Amino acid sequence: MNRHATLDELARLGADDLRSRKAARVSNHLAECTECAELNNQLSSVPVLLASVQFPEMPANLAVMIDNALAAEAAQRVAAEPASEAGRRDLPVRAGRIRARRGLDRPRTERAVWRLPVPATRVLATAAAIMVVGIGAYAIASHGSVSSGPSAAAASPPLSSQVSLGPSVTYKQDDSSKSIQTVTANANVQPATLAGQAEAALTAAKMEGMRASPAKSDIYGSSLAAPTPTSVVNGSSTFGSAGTASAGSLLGGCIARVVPPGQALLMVERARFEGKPATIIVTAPAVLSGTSPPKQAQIWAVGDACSATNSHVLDHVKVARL
Amino acid sequence: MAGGGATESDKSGRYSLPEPRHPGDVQPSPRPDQDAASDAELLQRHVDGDSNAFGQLFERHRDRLWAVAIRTLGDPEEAADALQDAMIAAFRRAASFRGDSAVTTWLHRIVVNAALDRMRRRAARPTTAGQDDEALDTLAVVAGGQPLSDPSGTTDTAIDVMAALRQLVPDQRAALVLVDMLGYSIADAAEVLGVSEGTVKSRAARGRARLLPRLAHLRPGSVPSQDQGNRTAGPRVQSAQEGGDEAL
Repeated sequence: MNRHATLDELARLGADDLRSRKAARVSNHLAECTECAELNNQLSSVPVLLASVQFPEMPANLAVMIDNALAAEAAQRVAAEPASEAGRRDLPVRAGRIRARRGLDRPRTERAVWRLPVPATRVLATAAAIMVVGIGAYAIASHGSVSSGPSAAAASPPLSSQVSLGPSVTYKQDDSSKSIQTVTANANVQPATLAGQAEAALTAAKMEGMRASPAKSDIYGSSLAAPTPTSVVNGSSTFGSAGTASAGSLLGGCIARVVPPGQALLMVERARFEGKPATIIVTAPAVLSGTSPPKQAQIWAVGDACSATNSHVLDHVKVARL
Repeated sequence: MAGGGATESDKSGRYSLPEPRHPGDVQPSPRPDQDAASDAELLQRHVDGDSNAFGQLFERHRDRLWAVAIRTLGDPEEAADALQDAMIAAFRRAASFRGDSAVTTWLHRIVVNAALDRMRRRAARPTTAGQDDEALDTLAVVAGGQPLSDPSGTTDTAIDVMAALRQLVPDQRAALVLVDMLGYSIADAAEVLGVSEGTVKSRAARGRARLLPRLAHLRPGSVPSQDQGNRTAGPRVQSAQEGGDEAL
């Protein structure tokens, strides 16, 4: 081989990608040509250089986000099945939080594909929820009234909650005033299925657009604006428009009393607990960007007597993660 | 899932995917709350309706999957999006897994494909230089945790390497990420990419040839400038970069 080897030939020789006869020719040339040998030496440094580059570790909050997205997928999968079948399954233990911030400390310039699954997911989830509610209504109509006893609930718990968004409620936590939009559900929560029902409601509430924000003027219990009456779903309890201010104030005090410091409020749901009016409060550790994913989400069922001075906790469970 | 016995190792008993090169970078940390179920068992449980199984599978492999995504895309934001898309796709398509490969290989393939899709879409879109600069800045901050001008030069090297990799076509880049950056064997990379071993060799070789003029200045003892890199490699490098074999 009289001419110099090309860079491509040298690279293919190094990758064992040349036919044997050509490989022999290039190898023989390399043995005699210092210029080509030098180029080959440079080429061999490329993989070493590539391997030496350090990259950032996976952000802790990204792991949490993907965990939550997978949990949302799991919840939808359960919701898409007949209620009787889903009732025999493990309940999802984590709630979806697909669109939470990733916290990578710079504004996004393009999120096309990130957004793509979400509308489709919402449509599917909504359709699934409607289907399950329809199946549940049919089951109730077919089998008479639903017993509020634990055994009946355990046999066929209402896994998919039909929720409606209610007014916001203000509460004080860590010396600051915050607000969260309440949701109202038709669920009759049972102790055995408190965690699963709360998570299903949380997923449904997020799909409905539940928001948490700093305190605003149009909040539940505010004296600045009359709140919109909460819609009643299937006769579930609600504070209603009359006495809203006092009820909201009681609930705000209740939240402040029940939720411990360091816990972020995820949902406040008006529902029933063992047939009685109750509020379901769901929290998770507030720090999402730490070194470890949040664990030990907590769920409380509190009675209507819960206030700033009386917890009135009907039930309290902790789940591994949410 | 036929052949679901393939888990960490393939049928020949070797590990289908090697240990990462940078232990602090991608090595999965032990998680005592995981049970001892194999990957294939977890995937089967997921298909059977266990709502926690896939999450365990992701937790088990997330560091390596992230390593593939961040190296292929070079942009933490894009990598995060690709990884989430990939995991949701894997969650939904788990029932179609035939067990022809290890579960880890299957997961890696989905992540690589998600990353390649993003790269191709990005290539098809008109972009501004500012977007790439922004991504590299983010990478620099996140990677080094230091300003761009860190004395060690580690961050600068990462930026230069990622900028050079961006010039490659996606297939060459994916081959180099798996083989050179993550240390996969040619056979493993071929399985992940779904191509023949010869194709992986060819893509890797051509990718290295195209990277050399852009990275030559990073070799020990060389002056850190692109012009120097080109001179060091010589005019043949530039010719090869433009036209390959025909130029010589």
